[in-house]
Amino acid sequence: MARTALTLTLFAGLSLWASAQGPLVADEVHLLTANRLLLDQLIDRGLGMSEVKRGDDPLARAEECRQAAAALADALRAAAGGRDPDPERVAELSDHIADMVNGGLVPNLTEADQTIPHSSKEQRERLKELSKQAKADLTELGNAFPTSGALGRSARVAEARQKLAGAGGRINVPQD
Amino acid sequence: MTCDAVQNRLLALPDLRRVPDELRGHLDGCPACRAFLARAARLDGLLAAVPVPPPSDEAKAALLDRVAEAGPIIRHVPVVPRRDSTAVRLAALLARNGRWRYAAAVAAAVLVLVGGWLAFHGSGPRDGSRVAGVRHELLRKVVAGDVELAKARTPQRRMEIWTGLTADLGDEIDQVHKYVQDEDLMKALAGYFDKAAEKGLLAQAQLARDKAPAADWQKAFKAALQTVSQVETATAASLQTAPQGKKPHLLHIRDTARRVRAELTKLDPALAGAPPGKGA
Repeated sequence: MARTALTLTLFAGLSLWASAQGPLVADEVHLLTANRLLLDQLIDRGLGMSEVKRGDDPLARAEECRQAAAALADALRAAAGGRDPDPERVAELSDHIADMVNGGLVPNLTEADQTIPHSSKEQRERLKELSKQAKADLTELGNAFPTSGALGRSARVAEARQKLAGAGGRINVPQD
Repeated sequence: MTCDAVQNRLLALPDLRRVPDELRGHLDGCPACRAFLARAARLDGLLAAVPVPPPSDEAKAALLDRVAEAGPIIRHVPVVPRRDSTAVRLAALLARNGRWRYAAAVAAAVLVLVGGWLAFHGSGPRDGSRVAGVRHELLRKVVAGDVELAKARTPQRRMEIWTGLTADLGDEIDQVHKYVQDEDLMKALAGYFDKAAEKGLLAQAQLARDKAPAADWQKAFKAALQTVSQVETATAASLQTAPQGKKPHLLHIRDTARRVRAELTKLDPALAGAPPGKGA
């Protein structure tokens, strides 16, 4: 009797262990597969921000941030589109875009605005164009969210849309 | 047939005027049962004569309301398995033979096998690679790294950020390489590591070497050296047990880690604890 109980406990324990361990690693592999290209693009953008000349240029860093946000936005559109949109992934990617804009893009645009002299017409024009483009990117992305179906009903997606709108609102387009 | 049995069957008859022949035979020889039949027939006649009030909708509704007042009368309808069902027959068989323990053990073993299969082989992309409700921690770290790089103003700070990303990628490779079936994904992981360790960490270390304050440099340098050494050691250990298909990628990662460690050591041999001029 004791041997039977021990055998059953052992098998049940192994079952629980296998159930608990397996899916975590399998999920990680699925996520890596889903984000393979995105990770590569983001690492490249990080290297761009680290380059000798670009690393010291707030405008160049801002451009890298915009491109990183654009890569995330492409992944978000893919998650939001199709027959089976994924609200949780849309929310996850929206959070990352908002972080990239609020933590990287906006501070560098602000720094560029403060450091580029008004006499540098070409630089100022680049700054203005980049700011306008980044703001338009976020507006267009917010409009691309479906208002019906699973995404339209999701509170997380509604929150994500607000975050993106908030991030877009923080981008100041210089008027000079 | 006893009198009790006959009388019970008489009570069960729908019409006492039509008595079956097998009962009739008993009645012919039994005065007591004949008297019982006569009383029962008379009672039937009296009951039929009792006036019944006509049905009224209000009375019916009131009755239903009264019944429903206390809640449902039947709260749970038990499901009785058919006696001839497979499950019942199997359960009876197992109970009779005392084999239920083996059946339970076999069920548990099947669970283990299914769990194991999911752990080791269930890692292919499913339905667009969706994983419901799970956020990708490595993606979060890479985004956070980019945001920090966007704020970083010195090579030494960038070196620290790339050291963190190199460590994260090394951990990721160590964690998942056994379960990755797709060779392109292994190649991609090796590519990420190359970029982070060589183009990120090492390049920034070379820039920071002469610019960073000594104390900051020492701290950043030691962390970087420790990180690439750990990846080199872990990957070398993984190579011992890795299947052939994954070995080229793990070798590539180990060689990158080794090369970056050697280059870092050249940058500051004293701090690395190596004799001057000896890289690796």
